[in-house]
Amino acid sequence: MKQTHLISDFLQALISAKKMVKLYQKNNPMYGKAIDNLYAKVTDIFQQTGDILLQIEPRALLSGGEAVYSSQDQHDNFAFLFFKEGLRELTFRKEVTKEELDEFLNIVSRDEKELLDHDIVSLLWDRNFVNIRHTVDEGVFAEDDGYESKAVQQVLEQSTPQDQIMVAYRDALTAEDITPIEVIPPTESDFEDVRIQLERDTDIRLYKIINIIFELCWQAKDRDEQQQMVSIMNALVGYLVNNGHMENLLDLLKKVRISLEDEEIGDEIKESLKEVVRHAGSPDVIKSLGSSIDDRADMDEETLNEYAGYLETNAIGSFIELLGELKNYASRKMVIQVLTNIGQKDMKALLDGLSDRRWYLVRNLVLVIRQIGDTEAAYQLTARVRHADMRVRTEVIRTIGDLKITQALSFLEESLEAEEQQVRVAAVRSLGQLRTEEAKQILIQHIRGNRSFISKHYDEKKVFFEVLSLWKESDVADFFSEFLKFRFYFSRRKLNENMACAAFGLGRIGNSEYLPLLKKYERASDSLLRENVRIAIRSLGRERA
Amino acid sequence: MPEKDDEQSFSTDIINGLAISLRTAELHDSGNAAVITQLEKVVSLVNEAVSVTGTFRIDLIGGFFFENNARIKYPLKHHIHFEYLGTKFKERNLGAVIFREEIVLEDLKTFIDAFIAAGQSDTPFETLQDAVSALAALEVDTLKTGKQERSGTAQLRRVIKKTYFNAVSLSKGVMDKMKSREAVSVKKTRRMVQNLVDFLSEEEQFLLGMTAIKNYDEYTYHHSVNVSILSLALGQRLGLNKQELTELGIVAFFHDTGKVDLPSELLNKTSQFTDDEFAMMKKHSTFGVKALLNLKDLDPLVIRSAISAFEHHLNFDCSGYPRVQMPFALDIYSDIISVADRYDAMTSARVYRKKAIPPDVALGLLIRDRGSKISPVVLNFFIMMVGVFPIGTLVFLDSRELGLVCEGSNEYIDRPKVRIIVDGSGAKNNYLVDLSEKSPDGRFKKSVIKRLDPNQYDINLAEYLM
Repeated sequence: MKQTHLISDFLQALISAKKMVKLYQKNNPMYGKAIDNLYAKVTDIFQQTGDILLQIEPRALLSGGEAVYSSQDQHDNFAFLFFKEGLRELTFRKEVTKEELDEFLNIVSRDEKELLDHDIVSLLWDRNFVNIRHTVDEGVFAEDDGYESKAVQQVLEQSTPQDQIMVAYRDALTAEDITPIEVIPPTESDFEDVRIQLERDTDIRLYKIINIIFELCWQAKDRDEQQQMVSIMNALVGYLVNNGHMENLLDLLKKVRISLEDEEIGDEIKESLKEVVRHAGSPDVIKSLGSSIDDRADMDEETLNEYAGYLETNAIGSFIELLGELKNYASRKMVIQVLTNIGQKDMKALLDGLSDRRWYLVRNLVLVIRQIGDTEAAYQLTARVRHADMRVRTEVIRTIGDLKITQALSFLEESLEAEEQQVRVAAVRSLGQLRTEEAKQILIQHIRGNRSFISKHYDEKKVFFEVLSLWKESDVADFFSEFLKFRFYFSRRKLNENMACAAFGLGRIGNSEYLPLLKKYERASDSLLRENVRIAIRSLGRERA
Repeated sequence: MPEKDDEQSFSTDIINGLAISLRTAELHDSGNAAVITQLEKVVSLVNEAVSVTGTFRIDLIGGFFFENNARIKYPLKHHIHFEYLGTKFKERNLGAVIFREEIVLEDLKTFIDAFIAAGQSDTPFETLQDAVSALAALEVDTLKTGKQERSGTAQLRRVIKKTYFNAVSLSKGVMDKMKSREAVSVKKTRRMVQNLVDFLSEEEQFLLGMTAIKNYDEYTYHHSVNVSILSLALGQRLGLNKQELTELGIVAFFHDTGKVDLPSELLNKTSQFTDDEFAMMKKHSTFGVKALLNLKDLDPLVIRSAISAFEHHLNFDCSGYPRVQMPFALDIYSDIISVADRYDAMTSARVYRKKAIPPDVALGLLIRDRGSKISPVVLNFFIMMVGVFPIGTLVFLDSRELGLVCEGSNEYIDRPKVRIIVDGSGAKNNYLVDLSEKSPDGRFKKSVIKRLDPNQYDINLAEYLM
């Protein structure tokens, strides 16, 4: 095969692999496969071609003057990619390694955004490949303003006065001899000290820039200067968040707080610093924080809570937004905890979040309110949460119960009629948590006055009796005993379920007065009834003992 | 001759063709198919040229190619081929290739083989000439030059000089943009610094020599570049790796950017500053921080640059300016830049101080502040770098010769190379002596015994260093 064809093949293989590298993450098997394939192919080609030297032109790559790649494409042009950066030659030595090919592709696959202040040439320079060499025409970036000739001419015009040279010579003859200066040759430990200092300075540069910015902030003479510093601090906050430098961010916010509490610092500066705090709690910043939280690689709950602790109330809305975006359960849990900690500063912000359309967000906000324990806000849930999702309504009902919102009795009573069993059961349990006479009567009335009660699922019915048994009062026990005496015309199985629930409830109330009644059913033919009766008898037996 | 938009692009094609053929032949051999294809093109071009002009010759004169005595101009994209071929010509002491009549492929192949073989010879031109002497159509001529330096070094030095002045132009461009609050490309600065890092490893002393020439009008821009170069050289001595050096070079380049926010009348004031003016001048450190942090999105480089912009006038003991409420240890980059900055500023004439401080005196002043204002470790390395007699020092030797130090010695810090301007007999002269040279008895041939202030005699260093 002709040499140029082989080199063209090599370039095609390189271009194909470049596409794959751009498409897949490094840890993706497809990425590894692309590199393996490329290496296998180029090893084969190199055996036939030896080293490959490519001359780079704007629209073509040449080998020995012959085009081995050409393209007129404006955007995806392998030749122009190199040419525009000043690269004029690339040499691939036949000893090129797989790692070198991988890294080379990694460099040439970066887009403008990924390159930042670098370009392909500076990255190749940094990497300094052994088997991939490049030649650059630095004239590409030269400021062609003719300065060199102008400057050289200017300095050379100031020619040395020839007579002065001889004056200098005569002066030298009578000048004093030199006095030696003290030279201290550097030692090994000096090198070591420099290395240590270099590492230290890299580590502390963020602490230092924060200190410097504060120095400038304190020195700011007027509103304009303060605003300048606010804008710099805000940018720094963004940088620290985006790059996961939470420790430094906390340091910055801590310094802000200390400054805000310092009586010697003027109000204007304090106002400026508050802007920084507000920025740290803004939706943009908190959203940026989200990715760190989601992968949890550089974020722990303690840090996040400490961060949130420095923020103002505007952060609540931002965290609510973030809570709606997070992907992982664990990270949502972290943010729920944050909102629990800071939410009480502005309950209205939390309540406003309840109008969101995302059921999971609303449910989590209800959870936050429950964890905060604000009864006023909890009561408002009954009116403000309009979400149809069963999980949301269940959460609200649980909150009402947990926080014993007695004003929400009618809400719970209505919830007993809900379509979903899960909601009804939650309402029963919440009524039980209220433990008021009214709540008890609602439950009793619901069982007694509701003809369809008997047809409910056994588990649901049992919850009613279990919850009612919490009152441990005689009227409840009497109510339960009625079920054991009651005869029913419908299904025998449904009757037995009710009796089983009543027996279970009597056992939990613990009144031994009902032992004889229970014993009547100790050998009942229905296994459900028999089992519950036995549980109740054992329970009463323990009570008596 | 074929129709061409520009007649000279024809010669350009020949130069390119020769350069490409040679490069390919160096990798493979002249019988390689790719080389042959290229050579055939050159043969065709040469023959067409000969058919029009009769004898066709390509000369290399003063680093430039000429076609029948007319300078061949070329677009930037061909620069690399011209540079390459020029270097190869010089290495072989080859000054011209003359085509007397039409050639055949075999002629050119013979020339290419001989050209490559001559590269290995101690007498390259003679080797080449011998090899092509049998060819009727082609002959070669020697390089017409009086320079004593090796052509490779001279070529490199020309490139370094170009890079230096490009860097100064870049500095001006950057400062102008910063002044008008335009976006600044750090990419160009990075490339420039990477070049300087490369040159440092090959021609450190020449590069340092470039910083020693001070009598330019554009002090501010030269100063940024000089501080960057001095910092890089110092950083290299301190053992920084390539990436750290690049970072240091960029940080140093930006150290004075705060000055763009100072009134130009203050910067150009020819008399001493009043207290208020000096207070304003001192603000450039903090202005620099603001300018850099607003330059672009924050990143480690910008942050490091801002730190050094803030710290470069703070002393080792944290005195100096700007005053800080909470003293802290300076960044090592700031320690390095501070030494480079002081040295370059002291050895430069300023609008308010017409005479610069001689390099050796400036060094003495730095030594005076060792441990108080200046990091002792960094300064010790700096002295090793510039030597006891830095470039630009006017020295009198025990041989009664007067000269200017033009290059330091890596071996002996007190034995630089000196450009003699008055010889031992008291006559003006111009030659180089190396003070590290020893007599057969093992003693140094010549030593410095006295120093003088070159500025007192208006000696223009550029005449001797450029």
